[in-house]
Parts: sequence; structure tokens; C-alpha cells
Amino acid sequence: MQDHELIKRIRQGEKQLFGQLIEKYYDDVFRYCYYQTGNEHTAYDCTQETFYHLMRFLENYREQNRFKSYLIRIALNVCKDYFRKNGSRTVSEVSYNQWTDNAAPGQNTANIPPSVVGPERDTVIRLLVREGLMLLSESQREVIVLYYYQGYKLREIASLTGVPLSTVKTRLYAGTEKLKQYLKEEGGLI
Amino acid sequence: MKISLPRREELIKDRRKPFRSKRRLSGKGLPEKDLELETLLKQYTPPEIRPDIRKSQITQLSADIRNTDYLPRQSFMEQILTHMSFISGWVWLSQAGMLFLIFYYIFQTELLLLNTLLSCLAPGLSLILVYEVSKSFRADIWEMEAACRYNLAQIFFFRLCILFGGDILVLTIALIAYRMVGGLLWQFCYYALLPFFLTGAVSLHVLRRIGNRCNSTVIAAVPLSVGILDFWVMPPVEKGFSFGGISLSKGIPIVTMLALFLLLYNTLKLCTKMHYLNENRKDHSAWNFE
Repeated sequence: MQDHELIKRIRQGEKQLFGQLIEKYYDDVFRYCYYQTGNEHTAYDCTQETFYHLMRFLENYREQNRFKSYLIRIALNVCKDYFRKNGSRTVSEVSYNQWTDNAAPGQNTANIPPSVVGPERDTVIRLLVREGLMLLSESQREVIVLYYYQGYKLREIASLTGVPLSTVKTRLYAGTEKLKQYLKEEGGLI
Repeated sequence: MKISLPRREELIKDRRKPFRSKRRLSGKGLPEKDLELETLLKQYTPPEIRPDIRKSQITQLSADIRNTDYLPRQSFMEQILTHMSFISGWVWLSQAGMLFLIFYYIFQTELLLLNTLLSCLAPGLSLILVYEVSKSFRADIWEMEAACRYNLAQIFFFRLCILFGGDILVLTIALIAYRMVGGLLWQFCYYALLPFFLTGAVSLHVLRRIGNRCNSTVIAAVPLSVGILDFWVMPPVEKGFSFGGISLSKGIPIVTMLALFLLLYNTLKLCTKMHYLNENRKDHSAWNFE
């Protein structure tokens, strides 16, 4: 069933169909929330909160075949709200710094040592990228997540985040530069 | 050697050129090096969604929606009333204070002093309005935007409706009182309406241009400048200055109308063509939050 049909029927009173709508978009929303908050538990909470918001204001949704974007916009606001209430950083479960703290004495932790290969190297890169993303400002991370992970175009991001296109470009540029610098200095990756 | 400087028009044209990365573009329009970053970023994947949490959340949400009533669409008046509750109390207090001042002095002092008072109060009236509206910019008004019920443009629209409504009420009462003590209409236009409209128009233009960088100093600077300008222009006007044969009784209302037009133009721009909501200006309802 198409989104617009589903929403129309939910509005008409078939509330049991709401489950189908959540099933369809749960993963997308979770992924966005995870990248934005960097924490699995927080991502679950934000995902649930997003659907609660959707639930309350579904009546105000006007069909434009952009339901996913509408949902992501809600998720974006929910994450912003989360950061406002809980400070700008979330606690990562395992940080890259913890990994470097465990490095052997004398080992150069500025770069990932060549001895670290295979899955362990992937894990380290993952931690490093996550740390890097969390070091960015909320707005820079938002743009990077939407651009690289969600695949939105810059113009769409401008609409989603409610800032001018030029600001999106500036944030993307500043964010990627900061991230690249971090990845280069901490892991020698770029 | 003669150095040719670029003409002003060329500089302006150049400044308006869209941002272009000097680096070679590739792939889906990303600069060359960013593809490397993209590859790295793609290695950071979210954890597998735990089916138990997923299922329990979906069940919980599905159960909750059965007990949830959607918030109904609101009529214009209902929306005005909703937004009215978000307007700070000091706005109403200040407006009431201004009215009190006008009524206190209107029957006690001579017209000249009353004119001076009106010239001082009119930019202040505008300042209250702009300050209250600018709070939405500075605080980003997440508390309402996050609820996805209204977007910023709508919030501005309703706030401006309420605040202008209040101001117009104050000005109308002031006009009635002014006429009662023998003041002329063009004088009221000059001493009260013109500074009010002008301050409002310039302030909203500034607000639209600099957005959330707009601080209290900037907001206060506009009415102050208008006030100073007002006092500077006042003596020749009082002496019966005429411009190109146009008498003040005709000229001032025309200038006031122009200022009103400017104010309406800026209000409309602020509420409808907010560049950060509609960058391409074609997609006016890009986001459907009502």
C-alpha cells in the first residue's frame, strides 16, 4: 500500500494501520537518529519519540509524496530537542580514546598501527569516525549525516534543516574539513 | 600605469555568483577527495537493530495510537489565540503603559510637547514588536517547531498579526485622543505613524537579512536612529517647510503611505519568502507543517 493511501486510511480511523507505517520507516529513522546521536540507546528513544510526534500531528501532514523527508525532519527536531535537554554530546559506549588508552607503551597512537588489520582495523575506523562525527557541531553533523548517509541533495538538506543553501554548503565544507583533519591526525587515514 | 578597477556592478554580480568548488568534481558531484571520506564514513555503520526492542516499540506505539486523538486543524482565530499565549506579558504591559502616558499628557500639555512625546513613543512601539518577533530568530523557537505543528514563517505571521493588532489599537486610540485636542491628521502621521512604520520596516528588513545574528543592540539601533532622524528633521517641519511646492499636509501622508508599503512588503517577505524555507522560491510548500 502506498504511503498516501495508508495515511489517508489512518486518518479515516483505521488506526491499526499505523503499525505498518512504523514498520516501513523504523529502520530509516533509527539509522538517522543513531548517526546523529552516536548512541544506540538514545537512538531507540529518539526513534520512538519521532513516531510519537508523527502520531500526534499526522492530521497536519499534507500529501506531497515526501513522507520520508517529513519523518526525517521530525527526527531531526527530536534529536535537536534531545541535545537541548541533555547537552551537546552523548556518551559513546566504547570510545576511540579508550582503544588508544589500551595501546602498548611506546606505541604511536596518532596513527592506526599497521599491525592492526582485518576486523579489528574496521572496528577502530568505525570508532574513529564516530568520535570524529561527535566532535562536530550539531549542525555540521546534521548536514554530513543527511548528505553522506541519507543521500539527500544539498538543496533538499536546505529545505529539511531550514537554512539557506549557502549555509548548508558552508557547514558541509567546514564539517568535512574538520572530520578529515581529525581522521588524519588521530588515525592517519586520509 | 593606469589600473582599471572593477565596476561596482561587476563586483555585485560577482558576489551573487553561486558557490562553486574550485576542485574537480566527480561522482555524484562530490569533490575528488571527499569520495575517500565517503568511503571511510560508510565503514561506520549503525548496529543491527535489535528485533526485540523494535517489536516492543512498534507494539507500544500501535497500542498508544488507539488511545490518541489527533490534534485537530485549527481555525485562524484559534491559531491566533494559541500564539497569543506565547507573547510575553511585558509586551502588553508596555503597550498599556504607552497608552497611559499618551492619555496622561494629552489633556495636560500643549500640542508641541505631545508631538515630541509621540515621536519618542512611536519608534518604541515598533521596537517592542520587533524585539518580540526577533526572539523567534534568536531562540530558534524549537519548542514549537519541534512539535512540527507550525513552521517559523507561520510563527512570524501569527506573531506579527497579534503584535500589529495591538499596535494599531494603541495608535488608533492615540489618534482619536490627538484629534480631540485639535491635532491635525498630517501631524499625527508625521509624529506617530511615520516613525512607527519606518522603524518597523527597517527593523524587519534587518531581521530578514541578518536572521539569528540579530542581537538586542542591532534591534535597538534602528528605532534610535529613526528617533534621532526624527528630531533632526522636526524643526524645519515645524517651521512649515515645503518640498517642491508640495505642502506638508499632502506630502507627509504620501511619505507615510510609502513607509507603510515598505513595512507591509517586509512583513510579507518575512512571512512568505523566507529564503531558508524556500531556497528555490518555486517550492513554496516544501514542508507541510500547518
